[in-house]
Amino acid sequence: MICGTIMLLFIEYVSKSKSGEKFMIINQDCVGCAQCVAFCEQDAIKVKGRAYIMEACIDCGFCAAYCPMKAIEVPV
Amino acid sequence: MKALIIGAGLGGLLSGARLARAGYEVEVFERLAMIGGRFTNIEYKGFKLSTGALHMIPHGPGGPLAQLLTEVGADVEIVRPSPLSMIRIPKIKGGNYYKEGYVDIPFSGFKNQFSMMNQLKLASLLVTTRINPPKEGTFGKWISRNVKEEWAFKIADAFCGWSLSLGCFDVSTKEAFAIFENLYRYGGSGIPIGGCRAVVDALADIITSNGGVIHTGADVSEVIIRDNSAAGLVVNNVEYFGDVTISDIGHLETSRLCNGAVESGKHTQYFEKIRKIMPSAGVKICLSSDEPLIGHGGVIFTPNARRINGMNEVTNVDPGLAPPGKHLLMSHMCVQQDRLKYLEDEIDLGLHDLKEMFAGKKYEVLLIQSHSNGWPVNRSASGLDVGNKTPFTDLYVVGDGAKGEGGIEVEGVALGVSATMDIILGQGNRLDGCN
Ligand SMILES: Cc1cc2nc3c(=O)[nH]c(=O)nc-3n(C[C@H](O)[C@H](O)[C@H](O)COP(=O)(O)OP(=O)(O)OC[C@H]3O[C@@H](n4cnc5c(N)ncnc54)[C@H](O)[C@@H]3O)c2cc1C
Ligand code: SF4
Ligand code: SF4
Repeated sequence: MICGTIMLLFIEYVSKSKSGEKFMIINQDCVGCAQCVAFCEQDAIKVKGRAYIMEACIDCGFCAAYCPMKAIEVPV
Repeated sequence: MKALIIGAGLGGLLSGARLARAGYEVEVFERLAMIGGRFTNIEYKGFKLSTGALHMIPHGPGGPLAQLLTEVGADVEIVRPSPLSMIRIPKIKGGNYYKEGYVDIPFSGFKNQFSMMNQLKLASLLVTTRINPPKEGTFGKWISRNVKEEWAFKIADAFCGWSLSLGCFDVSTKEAFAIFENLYRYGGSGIPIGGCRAVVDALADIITSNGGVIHTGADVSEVIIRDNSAAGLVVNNVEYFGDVTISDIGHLETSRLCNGAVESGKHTQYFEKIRKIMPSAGVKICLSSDEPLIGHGGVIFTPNARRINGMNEVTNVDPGLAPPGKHLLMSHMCVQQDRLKYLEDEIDLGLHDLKEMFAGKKYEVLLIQSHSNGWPVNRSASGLDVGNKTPFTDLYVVGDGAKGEGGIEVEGVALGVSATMDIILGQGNRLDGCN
């Protein structure tokens, strides 16, 4: 079961990486406070009313630790 | 005695510092990887921007926050700018917005913008309302009854929008006049040198140097209630026990951690009351420029803008808040709850205002920050605060979800913390202010 889940995640990772799509998801709780922007070393977040993750994101998950709304979902 | 504190925002840290100085063993739990909540700096492109507050303490070095900081021994320099505040009015009287240019007049000059008749009326109201402050209805309605003139609504909206992120029809008359009284008593705003972070770092130092602990990445998931009293907290699945618990996350959020103990049975009255607490929303737009856009550190109220209520350029007081040779201007606009679904359009109107006001000047939009819902400008829109007690003994709420009357933003936080300390430590607990 766990092996299967890991396998699925891996396949998703490979396909997402190939297509350039990102794992990080900004959910609807985002208020657009831009706190995450200041902590992203890749300059991969843009904010206007809400946050948008850009191509440069490397899925490091660092920004999520600074989001007051738990709006950045990190894949586990 | 041991104190457990939920949240390392200004309210949590002020409480922690005060209790640590009183000999309590203090443990603070902060969900995020950083402390300070909506009152600290974030570094961006070499600028010291902020998570929330515009590096401004509403009553400056003479206010409740400054007094509490001195009391706990926090060494923060708060500078009152000169001029303190100005009003930007269109160059052509009655002109729309600032398209045809503008002039900045001292704040006290707002009276001269009224009709002759209302100027006389205002002069008498300024005296009578101090003796007998009005209390009924909303401030907007009070204006409608007393000085019905478009300018009155404009200047009241700019003032309420800047200081409370509310329109004048959303502020109670009682709260508005309590705020004016505090302005007479404590004076106008000041800028903490080093920005908001200087304040929270000084408080954190006091906590830790008195043996307290501040945990980051520590998400409180439950307040353990036993015999109608707060016995402890569950944090990242670990239980902590203490003698008193202080929450810096507002009444409603705190009640959600109490495992149904508030909603159920005998506390329904309290629950109904706290369900009515509404947060206020707003947008801060940060600009950088090589040349100053304002040229002083005071507030500029912009009653004739479409959305922007006011702005400040803090680098005229503390150049360290920007990289060498740069300036930092922050503008604030209130966003009405029913406009939140059109937030991007609201932001565009704010940007348009700035473009008009700084036409011909070179600047860059550094960051646009919006605040609402669970991360608002003000957790309890002024006048809706229900005090610091909860239905449970040994559980108190501080912060901008439980401010003292007439306390603008962080001044209200400080008044609420002082009131809570009076309950926990007893009246007459004040320290002498030495380290
Ligand atoms: C745009 C904007 C402009 C402002 N301008 C000014 C200004 O110029 N002057 C002024 O005086 N005020 C201003 N304010 C208001 C001021 O910033 C706030 O009143 C103040 O920072 C609130 O502090 P607090 O301690 O009540 O709450 P917060 O700062 O929100 O602190 C609460 C802390 O609790 C943490 N937390 C939440 N849930 C949990 C949990 N379950 N477990 C552990 N930790 C948790 C949060 O992460 C946070 O750090 C402004 C606010 C905004 C947003
Ligand atoms: S920190 Fe969170 S709430 Fe704020 S803009 Fe980023 S994702 Fe949105
Ligand atoms: S996951 Fe890392 S790279 Fe991607 S936006 Fe967040 S901090 Fe930036």
